[in-house]
Amino acid sequence: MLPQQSLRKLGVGINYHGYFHDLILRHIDIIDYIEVSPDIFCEEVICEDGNCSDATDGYNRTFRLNTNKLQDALVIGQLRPVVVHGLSLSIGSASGWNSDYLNILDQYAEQQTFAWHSEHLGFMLVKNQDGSEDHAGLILPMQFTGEALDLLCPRIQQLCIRYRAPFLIENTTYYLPDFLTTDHQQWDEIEFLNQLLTRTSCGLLLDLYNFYCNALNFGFDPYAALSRLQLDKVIEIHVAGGVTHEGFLLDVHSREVPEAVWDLLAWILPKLPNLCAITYELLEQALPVTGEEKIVAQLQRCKTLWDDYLQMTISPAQQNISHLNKVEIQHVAA
Amino acid sequence: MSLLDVQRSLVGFARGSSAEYHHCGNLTPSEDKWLKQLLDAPGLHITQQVQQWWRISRVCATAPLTVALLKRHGLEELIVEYIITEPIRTLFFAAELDQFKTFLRGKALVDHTTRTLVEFEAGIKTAAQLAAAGNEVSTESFSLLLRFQCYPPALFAALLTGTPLPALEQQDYYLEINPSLESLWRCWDNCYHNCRLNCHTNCSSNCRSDRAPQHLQRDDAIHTDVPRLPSKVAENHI
Repeated sequence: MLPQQSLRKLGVGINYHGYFHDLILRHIDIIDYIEVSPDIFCEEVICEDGNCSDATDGYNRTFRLNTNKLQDALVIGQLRPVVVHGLSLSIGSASGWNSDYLNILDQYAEQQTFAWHSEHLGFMLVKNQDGSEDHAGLILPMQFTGEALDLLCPRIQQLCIRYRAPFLIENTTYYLPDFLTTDHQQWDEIEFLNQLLTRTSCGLLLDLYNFYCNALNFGFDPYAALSRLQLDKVIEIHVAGGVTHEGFLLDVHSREVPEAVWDLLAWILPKLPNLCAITYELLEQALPVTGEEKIVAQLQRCKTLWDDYLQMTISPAQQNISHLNKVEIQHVAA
Repeated sequence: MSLLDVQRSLVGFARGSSAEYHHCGNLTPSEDKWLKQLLDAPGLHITQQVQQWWRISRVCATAPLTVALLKRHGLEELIVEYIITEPIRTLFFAAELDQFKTFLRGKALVDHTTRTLVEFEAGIKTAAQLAAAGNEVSTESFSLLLRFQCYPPALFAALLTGTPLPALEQQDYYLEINPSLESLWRCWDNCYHNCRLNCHTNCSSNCRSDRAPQHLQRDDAIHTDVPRLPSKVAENHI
């Protein structure tokens, strides 16, 4: 079972990127944790022993963590708790997931403890008929079918026991039609997520912005849909902003959070008894566009909602423990 | 239709190819209708564009100088051609510089300076990885010598600052990449070229990689005060 009772209420965090390093340090007082994608430390490396996974351009290559980039993240990891958010596991690939990602996560886990780890519900990799591997270049949606469920459940269970931390699955944005309810889907997205949450030990990383994009792009009521979700399984929430292009709201994390998503967040928070964290996500290239002032304002707005949530949902004694945890972290950092 | 067939078709669609869909031989009429609907859907066009934006952003991040030079030469279409024609074969965020380098090598439109520049960026990446690996790998296993027709730091500065490119010269400039160097690279003037001719009499007139001769000492180098290039130059694609 997902050890919800033992998970600490972390508070408000931001996704980590090297470009955000100084910003995070400058505003560490309002950032309770960082969300790290080990993928951003990953690079191909030449190796000499001939045991590499791939061979291109005359060199044997393998994947490893870039120690310089990793070191910067570890510095912040000493100041604040870390949660992991994977980008490239391709958990839903019918021809096998990306084991290189797990190797990267294994290496990261040797150096950094994390409260939980998560991955997107989708796939990127396929094996072609000639045995070669191809890559979509973005996360594509799963079909919401029994076959997909049978593929995902054992993989999720494997992830739940591989690391000493709970695993969360995240809902994604999609632009392809007919991924709601058609003749080819046994369930809609909400029903499919509920099936996953029932059949496995994972929790849910509810990306409210992704969900809002899908609702807006395909014309359904997000409030009605979210009301059908197993909300007691939500451990983390993502909020973000993006741009509209050719009539579609895009999941690019390049702007401030839309008011409609803030409204959704305020509405859903009292319904989430086991929520532990709210993450504001931003693309690294968006830093000069959004600007530090607006980023801080987004985090502060999350913080206000989080404080209200704590008042509503947990006892004064638990709040005190949460406060003591933070004091302890600051003491250790000092 | 199996999940694998659906996924093969969707990955093909996302990359602008319907070949995988046509290979699916066991489609029911309703499955065939569904996939055809996807092919005509505005959301598929968006999916393709999102995939291309991510890829372009990766190429720009991994080869910022080469991309800047291609733009100066009005050859942006080569980047687009690369995105469309070359399959994605690396991890999501891993650099695809080598693939881009190989692609440019085969293009007649690409001049000597651009080819040398992409070799330089790929070489720096490799040297940085070897240097970061420390004692795990021997840094002596990699050394690259590149010939430029203008002073390389002046070329880099012009590309990074948007100022006019330096003129090509009769004189050759050599740039050595080596993980054992503090900034991973250094420049030589044509005295090195002469030295090589005297020693080996096989100097190529084209950009070439070679092991740096052992007899050359550090003092022979033109010491530049150009710092290590940033691994990534932020570009605003938003």
